[in-house]
Amino acid sequence: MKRMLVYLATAVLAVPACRQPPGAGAPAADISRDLSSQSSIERQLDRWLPGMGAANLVERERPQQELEQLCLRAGRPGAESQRTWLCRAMAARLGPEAPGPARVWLLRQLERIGREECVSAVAALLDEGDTEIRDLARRVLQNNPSASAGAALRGALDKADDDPAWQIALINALAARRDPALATPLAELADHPDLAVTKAAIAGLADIGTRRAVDALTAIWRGADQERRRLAAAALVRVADQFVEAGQKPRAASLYAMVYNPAVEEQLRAAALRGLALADPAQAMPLLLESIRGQRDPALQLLAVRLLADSAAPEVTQALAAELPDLPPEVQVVALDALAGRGDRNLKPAVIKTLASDDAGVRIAALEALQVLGDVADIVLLATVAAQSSGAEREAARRSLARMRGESVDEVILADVKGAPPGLRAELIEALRARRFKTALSMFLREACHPDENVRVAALGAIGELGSPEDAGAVLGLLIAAEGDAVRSAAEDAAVALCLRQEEPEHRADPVLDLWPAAGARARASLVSVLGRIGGSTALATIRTARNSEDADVVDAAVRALAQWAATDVLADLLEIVRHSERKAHRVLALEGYIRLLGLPSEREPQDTVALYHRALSLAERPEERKQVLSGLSGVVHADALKVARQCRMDENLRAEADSAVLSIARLVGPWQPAEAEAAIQEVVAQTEDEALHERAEKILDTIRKSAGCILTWALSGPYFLEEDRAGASPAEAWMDVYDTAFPPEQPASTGDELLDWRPLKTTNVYQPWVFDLTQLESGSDRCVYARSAVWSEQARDVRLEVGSDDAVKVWLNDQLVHEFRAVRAHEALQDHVAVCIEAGWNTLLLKVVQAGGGWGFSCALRSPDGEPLSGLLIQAEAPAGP
Amino acid sequence: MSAHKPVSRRQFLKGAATLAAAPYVLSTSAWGQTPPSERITLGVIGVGNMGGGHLETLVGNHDFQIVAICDVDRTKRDKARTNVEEAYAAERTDGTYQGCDIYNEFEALLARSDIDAVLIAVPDHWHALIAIAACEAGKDVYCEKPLALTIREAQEMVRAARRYGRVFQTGSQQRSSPEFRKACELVRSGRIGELRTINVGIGGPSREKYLPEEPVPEGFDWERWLGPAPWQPYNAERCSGSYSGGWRLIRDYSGGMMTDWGAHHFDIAQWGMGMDGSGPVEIIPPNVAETNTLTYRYANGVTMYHGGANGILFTGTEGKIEVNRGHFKTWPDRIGQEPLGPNDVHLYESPGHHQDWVNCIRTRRRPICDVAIGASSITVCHLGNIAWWLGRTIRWDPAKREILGDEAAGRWLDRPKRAPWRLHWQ
Repeated sequence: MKRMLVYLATAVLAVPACRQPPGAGAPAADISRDLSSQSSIERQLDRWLPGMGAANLVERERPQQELEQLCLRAGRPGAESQRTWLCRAMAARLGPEAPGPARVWLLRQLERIGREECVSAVAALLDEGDTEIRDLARRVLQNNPSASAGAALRGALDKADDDPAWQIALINALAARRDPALATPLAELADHPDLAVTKAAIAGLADIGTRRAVDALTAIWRGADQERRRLAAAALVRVADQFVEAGQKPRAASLYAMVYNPAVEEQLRAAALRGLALADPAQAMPLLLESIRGQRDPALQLLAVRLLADSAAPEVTQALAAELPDLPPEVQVVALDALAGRGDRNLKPAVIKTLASDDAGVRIAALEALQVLGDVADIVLLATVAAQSSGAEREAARRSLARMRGESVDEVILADVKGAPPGLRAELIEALRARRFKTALSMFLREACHPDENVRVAALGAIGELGSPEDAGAVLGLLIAAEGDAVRSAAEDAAVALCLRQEEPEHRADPVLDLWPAAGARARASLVSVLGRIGGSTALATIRTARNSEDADVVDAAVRALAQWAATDVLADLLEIVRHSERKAHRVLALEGYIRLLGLPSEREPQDTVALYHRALSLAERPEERKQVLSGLSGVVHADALKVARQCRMDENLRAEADSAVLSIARLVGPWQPAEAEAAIQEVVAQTEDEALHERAEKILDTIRKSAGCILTWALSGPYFLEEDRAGASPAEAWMDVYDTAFPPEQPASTGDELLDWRPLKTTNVYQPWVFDLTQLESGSDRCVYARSAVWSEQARDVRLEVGSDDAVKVWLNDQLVHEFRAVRAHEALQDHVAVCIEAGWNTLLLKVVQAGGGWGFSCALRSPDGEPLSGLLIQAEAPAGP
Repeated sequence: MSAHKPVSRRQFLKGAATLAAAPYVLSTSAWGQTPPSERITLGVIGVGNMGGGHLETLVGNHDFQIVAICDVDRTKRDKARTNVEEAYAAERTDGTYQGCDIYNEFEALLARSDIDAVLIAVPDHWHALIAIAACEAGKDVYCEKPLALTIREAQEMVRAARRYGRVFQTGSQQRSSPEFRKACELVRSGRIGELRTINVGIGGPSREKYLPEEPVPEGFDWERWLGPAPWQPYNAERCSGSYSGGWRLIRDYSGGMMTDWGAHHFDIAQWGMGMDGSGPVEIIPPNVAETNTLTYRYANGVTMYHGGANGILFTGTEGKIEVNRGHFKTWPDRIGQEPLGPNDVHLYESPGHHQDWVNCIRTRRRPICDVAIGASSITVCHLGNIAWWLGRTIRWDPAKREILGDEAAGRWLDRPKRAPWRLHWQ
């Protein structure tokens, strides 16, 4: 039953005033943010300034965040006066008398909201000796929209001759501003002896993209310096791209055409050709076609095909189609893909011709293309290919048939079925099934009686997938009459699918049971197979009856149905068959089924499962069966399983499997009963020379040793969450309110334990039983649970508390809060380490684990201060009652 | 027999433009008939948490040969090289292998003409710079999500990839998972009726962190790690990849869980809406509207809420679909049980995020999470952060990619970079 303890927020509910972390746009309660006048702003700034520059980071955070919030508010539309006041006030406090961190923070605010009013103060910092402040001032001016900011940066660039790094910084800032006045100085700097300055200057010219910038780049491009020519070519392509975006395609085309030059490296040449195709398709077309026709270089052909495909010009389609037959196969594949992407159905004849290619890749690409370009006229062609091919080619043809669009496609396929030869007929039926054309059900039922087996199988598959429970009777009739394994199997599958589609489980077996009284022995055998796969109590009752049939085939079907049954309610039936059946085949089948069912998840206690496996072991006649038992036993977390596996080691025929089982079980049992597990492992290790087994044993022993101190047993209370209308202002942060709220388990003992519904927390991870996945218990977010455990120690001692959580967590030791993590995170086992002191006697450990969303879980351990295992601890979910 | 010259791997990969994504999926078997005879040479830039994971997978993928590793942490790059060379050595008869070079500077790795592709798994503030440089150097790119630190950076990454015809896979790998694709196909095929709302269950934005200075570890290039980000003294938490408090939660380097998980879940929301390449028109922060949660409004009438789902919850007039990793649920049940028909929406089927990238490198098609898709999804995440940080509603023009009527908000679309860094060097 779902446990939802809704905690009504009353007097104990302490929802914090600030629900969001600083910097997340949250207002603070205790410092006013007054933007009403220049003087009030200045008063606030002066109050915050010392803190903003404090060496102590804790002191620095609050005033800096307050200023940021004030700036964000002042920057809103319609608050120009307030923004100006604030920026003036900040600009007036940028001098070296202010502490360094405060200056940095003021500049970072001005970067976001500063305008004309702060330019002179910030520009003065461009001469600052502190390079951090200087560069920050540069960035502030870069972002400042006023013209004077650009002038200040240009002035600084004029003076920066002897400092290439500073020149680059200023070029970058001015280029980011797209400052048109920069073209002339950048043209000069493009000849700078320091190549880094040159690169920045040429890249800056591309950023600006004015006529003068283009002229400067063109001049560099026509110069003699190869490296500068290359940089200019790249810059010109970038400028041309900007022209295309701005709709100035003729200007762009002239630049692309200039760069599309044999002297240019392949990468840039390709970029220029691509640009030309976008800016002036007519000019690009002959170049592209020439590349395809003339070069006979597949790489260039491929490039040209791709560029043609990207072109919007309609004439491209036919041009590309005309070239298709002469392209090499690998380029044909690309071209077919590209042509399909253009969606022009006039291309279909060219595509169909390539179906005759010797190259399978080309044929597949053509079939895929017909998914888009094909129409009803191609249905028979595709179905024929599907019928006559195999593998990827068949799949491509089937996929195209299944996804072909068009209002009449289904009806045409349906009409084509009539008169089609068997292979084609089966493919057409398959296509209608894939297209989910339910209107064809009556045809499918008819075709399920077709003389050809493949047609019958296809039709039965379609019925099973598209039919309704009402069709089950007809299909069962076909099953009873079926000849041949393929048809019988298809009919059985279809019947099962249709019966299971019945929404009411208790009626799923009805169509079978309706036929049962009148069915003969042969029919009953088939019906029992169906019942076995449907499941349910009525089916089971009939199968049990069938087991007593006088007909051997019916009995055989019943035993097989029980052996394959999906639930554990047939364990007794199977055991009875194993013990008493005269037919060995039935005993084998039943024991296999019995062992399989023991491995299914169950509410049984682990020791009971071990007992059942033990019984299976005693009944096993063949080594294979005993090995299956050992395999199942390997997953049971109980010392009894270890005992049984160790006993099996006495049997030489089972030794290898038993050794492996002992190790597997020891790994599971180890965290709970390390002494028993280690003894069993040592026994195996001492008696084998198998190196792999030794290595595995060592790893398991290491895991067991590392698990010492991990807390495996907990009592759980919750989940707890706030009523929706009392939760935090922002649902995205509602988990924080849950975290901050003291729910009853963390309050002083005002509430009786019995009302808190403490209950054992079940293991959720058998391999790491100290890691608990709480999502297996509850779903939903913005909630928490409390987990409680008791630790007994001989003496008071310092220990290391290790805690992992998803998401936030609080930990109390003996009612004292010893650890908090207030954030959303993924769980890593034992990720937080906290030094704590435990008392002599019983100690109480209480965890609050908050779910913000996604995963939810925790882990906890106690170790020595240096992380080693602790001895002398007893850990259990509850301390014993009494003093 | 073909009379044409065979296409060498180098020729094949060095071409230009990628194909536009087709409305259907060309199966990989079409290409399987003509495999390149050589492996794709790969450089891995960043081998921390995510990069290390990629490396472990890719070293066993015989489509690739990892020939170079770059990391600013000497210990990590040394260890990564050892792992790669040991793995390759184990495949050779003589049991030895040397051939994976290591770099501190990504520029040196990108300068190698023998490298076809790079996988970028560095912190977010470096993504755009390295990815654009990689495109300019003619490398195909797999870039971890979130695609970029700012909206403008993402746009420039798209331009660079297109300009140089690079195959650019964004690491939002949920697009390659069948359960997410199925959910989106069902939504887009109208199985839940008219889509009305989407809930996206992820964490909040990043923030400032006040961390004390610590000594820079030997072999760790802190100046390089910071790169374009504002200068700060070294602290181990700043450069930790841990989800419990590392750089992902610090605003100078990342957008927090809004971008880290948003690049997955908002990405799927966009896919489900058919909004790739577009986005919302209004973003309302928490504490402003009656909804009390970050809210996105789309021009088609769909409203998307931050929170309230295990993963992504699509709600329509006739049902709901909730999807997350390992979780797929519909209300009513039958919505998820009925297979798609020919007239339903069939989305691109990726064979796996790495494999899709491999296939597209060979075929020059745009991959399942092409850079433009990554850009529009990360734009949604960043817009949420901007509204959240500013504490006011912003209006967005998804076609022009501009914030409307709020100059100060518009400045958050990009961040000035610390010298000498810039997005384009050519």
